[in-house]
Amino acid sequence: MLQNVIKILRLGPTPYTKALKLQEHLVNKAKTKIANGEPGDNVLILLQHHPVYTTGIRTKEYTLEEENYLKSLGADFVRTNRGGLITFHGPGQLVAYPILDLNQFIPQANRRKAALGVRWYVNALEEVIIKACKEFGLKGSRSPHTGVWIGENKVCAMGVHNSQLVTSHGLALNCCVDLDWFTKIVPCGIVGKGVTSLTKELHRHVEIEEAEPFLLQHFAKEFSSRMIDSSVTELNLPAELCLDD
Amino acid sequence: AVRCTKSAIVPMFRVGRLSSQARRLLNPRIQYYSAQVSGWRYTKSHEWIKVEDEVATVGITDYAQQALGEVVYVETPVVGETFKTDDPIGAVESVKASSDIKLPASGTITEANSLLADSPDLVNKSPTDQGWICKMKLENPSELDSLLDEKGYNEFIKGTEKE
Repeated sequence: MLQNVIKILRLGPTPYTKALKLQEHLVNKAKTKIANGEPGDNVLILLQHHPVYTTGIRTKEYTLEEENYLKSLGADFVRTNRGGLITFHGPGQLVAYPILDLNQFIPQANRRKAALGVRWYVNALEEVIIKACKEFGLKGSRSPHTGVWIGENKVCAMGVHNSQLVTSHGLALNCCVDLDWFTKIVPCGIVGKGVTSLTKELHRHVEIEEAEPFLLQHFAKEFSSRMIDSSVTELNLPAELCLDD
Repeated sequence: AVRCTKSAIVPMFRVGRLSSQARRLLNPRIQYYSAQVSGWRYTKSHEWIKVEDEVATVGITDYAQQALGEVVYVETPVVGETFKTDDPIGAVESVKASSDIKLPASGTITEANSLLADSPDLVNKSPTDQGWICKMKLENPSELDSLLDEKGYNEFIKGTEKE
């Protein structure tokens, strides 16, 4: 059985809006291919963001007042079309945006209700992180709220967008991010639950570079794919989309 | 003035008693729309569209709502905006995933379902009735001819289940 191929695009610290444009570009490219009867290119973008608070399509719940307050703390504020509520991205957090053509992955689900891909997809992303946490000796778990938890605290936030079975946005795994940023919001709108990081749970500093190989290893397994290192040039991306800042 | 109104009403009733051919001559639009598709049509991305009189209603199918899971939010289109077939006109959010809703045919949005703001789960409970997403005026009703009918849609779903 031929495996699917997922190309890995590693970027350095990237402004959030630039990453949005990059994702939009890749999603449109995939949709064009699919419309021509070809499989879309699967790309896993791995990066970090400068401090930014982001909201999903339920953005009206966050007022201009709250937006200005969060900006006054020194972070950006961006409203997006992903699912999920408010969250924070910043240095020390491994952010992954899988731009996948779910048509290629759906047959793996093999069940009627998973045929649309979304629930299966989100579940698969959670499984990747749960297994990556296990490599650190940590017990990650699911809850009615999408994401991965260690006890009552969220170690990885998730929020995705699905447009005609091409995915964008993704997940953010807290490695050594400053958790104080999360105290300024109700993360993901869930009152009474906290946020944690690999560093906090293991009582030692955990860099993104330490978590990345585990994420990739389990991504390959969960999505039955071959992961291939790629680059801006190899993907024929316009340079202005990916300049490291 | 009352007399004028009375005399104006009588001819209208007389119109109702005219032959169907005469009625078509008086209002050619009746013939045009009655020759169009009525009933339900479906897309391969699991939206449905139903035309009654000249109004088309759009929603997502029962199959779609089951696959998405509990709907927590529906982004509906802005009334008055015009779209082309396959334009994304909103989104449905479930399990922290927002999924685009595509418009099955070109036209102008005339109404969005305001009940969905407080009760997005109407899409789960009643996807083809109370969970309708928007209504529109069709630009070109013949576009519906290229969509799946109920039989075609059921066959399409069975095809994906086998994978």
